[in-house]
Amino acid sequence: MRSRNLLVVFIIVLFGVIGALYVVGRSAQKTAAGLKTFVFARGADAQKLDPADVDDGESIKALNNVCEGLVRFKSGTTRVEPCLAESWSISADGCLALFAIRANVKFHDGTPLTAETAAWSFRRQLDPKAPGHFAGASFAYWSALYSDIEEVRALDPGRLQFRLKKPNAALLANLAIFPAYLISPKSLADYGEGLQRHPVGTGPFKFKEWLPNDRIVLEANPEYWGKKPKLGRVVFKVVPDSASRLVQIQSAQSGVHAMDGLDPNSLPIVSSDPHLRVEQAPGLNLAYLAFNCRKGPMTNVMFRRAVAMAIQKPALIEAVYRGAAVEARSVLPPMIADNIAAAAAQAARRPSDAPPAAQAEELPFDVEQARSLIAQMRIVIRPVKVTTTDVFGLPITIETNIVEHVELPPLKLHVMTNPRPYLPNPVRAAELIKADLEAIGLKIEIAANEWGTHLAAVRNAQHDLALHGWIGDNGDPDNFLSIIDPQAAQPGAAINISFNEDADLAEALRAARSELDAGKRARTYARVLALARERLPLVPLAHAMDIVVLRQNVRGFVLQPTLDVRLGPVSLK
Amino acid sequence: MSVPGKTGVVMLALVLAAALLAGVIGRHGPLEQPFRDRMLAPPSLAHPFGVDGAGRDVLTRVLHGTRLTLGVAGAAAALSLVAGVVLGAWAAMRGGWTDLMVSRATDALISFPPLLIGLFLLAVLGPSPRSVALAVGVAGVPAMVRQVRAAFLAERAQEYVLAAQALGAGRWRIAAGQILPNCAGIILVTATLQFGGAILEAAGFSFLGLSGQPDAPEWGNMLRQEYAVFRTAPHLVIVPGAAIAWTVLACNLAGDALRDWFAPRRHGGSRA
Repeated sequence: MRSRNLLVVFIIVLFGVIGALYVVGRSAQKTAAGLKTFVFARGADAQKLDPADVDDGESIKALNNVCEGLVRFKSGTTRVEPCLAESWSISADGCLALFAIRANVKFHDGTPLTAETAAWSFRRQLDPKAPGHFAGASFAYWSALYSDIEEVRALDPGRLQFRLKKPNAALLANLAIFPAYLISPKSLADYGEGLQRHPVGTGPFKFKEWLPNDRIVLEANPEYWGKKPKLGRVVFKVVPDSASRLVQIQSAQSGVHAMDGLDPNSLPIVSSDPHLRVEQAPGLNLAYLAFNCRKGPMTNVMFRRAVAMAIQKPALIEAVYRGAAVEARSVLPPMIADNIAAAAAQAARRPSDAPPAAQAEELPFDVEQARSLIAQMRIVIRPVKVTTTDVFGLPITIETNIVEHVELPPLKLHVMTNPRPYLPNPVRAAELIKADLEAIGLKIEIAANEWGTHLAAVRNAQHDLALHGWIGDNGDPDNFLSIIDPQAAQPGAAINISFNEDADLAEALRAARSELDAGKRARTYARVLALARERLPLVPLAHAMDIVVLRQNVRGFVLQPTLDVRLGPVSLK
Repeated sequence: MSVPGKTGVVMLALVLAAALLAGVIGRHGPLEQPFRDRMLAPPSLAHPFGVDGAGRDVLTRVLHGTRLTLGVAGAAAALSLVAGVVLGAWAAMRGGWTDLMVSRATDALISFPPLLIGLFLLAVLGPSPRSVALAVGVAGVPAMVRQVRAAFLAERAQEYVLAAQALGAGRWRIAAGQILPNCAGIILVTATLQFGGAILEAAGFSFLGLSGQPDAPEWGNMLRQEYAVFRTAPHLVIVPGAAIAWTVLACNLAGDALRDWFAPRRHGGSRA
């Protein structure tokens, strides 16, 4: 009897607490509605909010709205346009770049933007002794993309000069992405190392608060120099499970207006929901099958060609992406290839300067030929000496050849188990490729590991074959082609996990990097792509669509090829 | 035999028939993907259970999966059975320190959730169907040891054991020749129930992706592969799920039937 009374009391208390929470939740939502809050749900939290020291998309999405760089990509493209610099000029030898800093711009803490305050954000990355170069920070992007920069100097309050060790054709594209965002020098005095969790930029939204693994809250910056933001408040909310993200955006009560990381299997659910809208565009990414070119049969280019001919890409795109991808015909996504061609066309003064066709012949899908190539590889002709006796009983030795069919050893196909933006269902992709390759007489073992383990294994060349991918940071081909650059193939820290040792390819890539003439650069890249197709260090599989799901009342959202999330022009109806 | 018991035996017989006939009824190898042009197709006359997300006929996969699933669970149950009988009999016959050590070790092992023991073993051995069988088998040993030890202790006090001792039979000869046949019923029933449990546990491990190759037609693995499309193609989850439920239910009913079958004879024996 006592215990039953206790139970009743417990239940009453429980309902009371739930009711109280509900009331509190409702009132919180009401105040938020008054400010026109926009909620963006995503799968993981930011790592840090210091643009110079992040490399994950989740951190970048929040920073896109707080900070800005000297230049930026024109919305929806990867073409560079002015931002905090109104104009720029690059010297003839390509080693000096001069930027005119926009006047009357203030950081969120009131610090005025000058060439000197702008230079601070670069110097803290460039100079290990500069204030703000924290010991615990890696500044990985600086060494990867900006190491050609030797000095950043303010000539006067309105002019900022970069001096380069050698010309770099990708300089402007690199200055348009997040590691080159400017933050207020005063934030170091205000927050110390805490500035890595408290960004102070010039963007349309100010940083308000960050509850780790829950939400990042931004507030409109009424003094923004450009078009004033239309939203009062922006919340980046962490909802780890893709299915629950979808359920939240489907219900009006949850207050979620946008989400990314949709499981493509759910596309039919989204398109049948009248309250939702899908924004999708071919992404700046590539999913590919890498050969470990230093190992076993993969050293043979005929083997690699046979594999490439055996893969049924349309089936892969249906099974893995549910159609939300385009078949990859080259290492470069179409948008980057188009950029090169457009730049070259612009630069071409005479018709004879027109660049060659960027798309060379691709290997056809041909199972029969692939099978016969593999069968040929399995035939080994071995000279042998046979000792026997002749008709008189005397020993004689005959030299002859023996034809043997050798079994190829089972090949390990490494794959990650976590969905990646370029490969939403990696294990399924591995299954399909396994079936395709077993159809031509190979034996495949799938090694499926979670992302960290997978990365360590392929970077250390433990694979025979590997499913992998790349997401472009900027629209420049140089950034993308590092996946086939023999110079980026040091085991342990390899970006190029095909480990191809190819002097021609390395030379062509090096030439393209320091070529400033757009026409010549385009020709060099055409040569790089032709070499890649001929030597085949990897099989390009697909470029996944970038997908963002929005509620119907969201206006002005533009999907960015770099996966930036720009909420300045966004409004709610 | 009771009606549920008969039902269980018939259900189990159907499962075994499916395992035997998989190669005959199935329309392609379990790993081949011949229907890539109709991925995720719902059940139809041509594909009674539909087609999965990689272009494989689900009926074929489930049939082949019967072999794999029964094989893994069977190996696991056999391992529990053999190790459990040996250890249980040893503890009961030797008594003293041996009994104490075996019993305490069993208690210690039983206090861990079986899933935890299995995960630990799988982390050491690496994912493969063999590891899953070993993990599930080891996790099932303590329960069997307890049953066997208790049964042996009870039988050891019986007069026929005394008679055998008087005739000069050794301890192990009595254990194997006299006591074991008299405990066969309880051991068999436990083993059958453990077999059903092993199917569930093995499916659980496969669902966590620990059964080796991701394209294996193991039922738990089939669930894992397709649960993401549950809202658009539910048959891909329902079919392997139902196969697991069917087989486990069959094992439980058959286990009950076996118990009924053994129990009257034991009562009859005591009446005589």
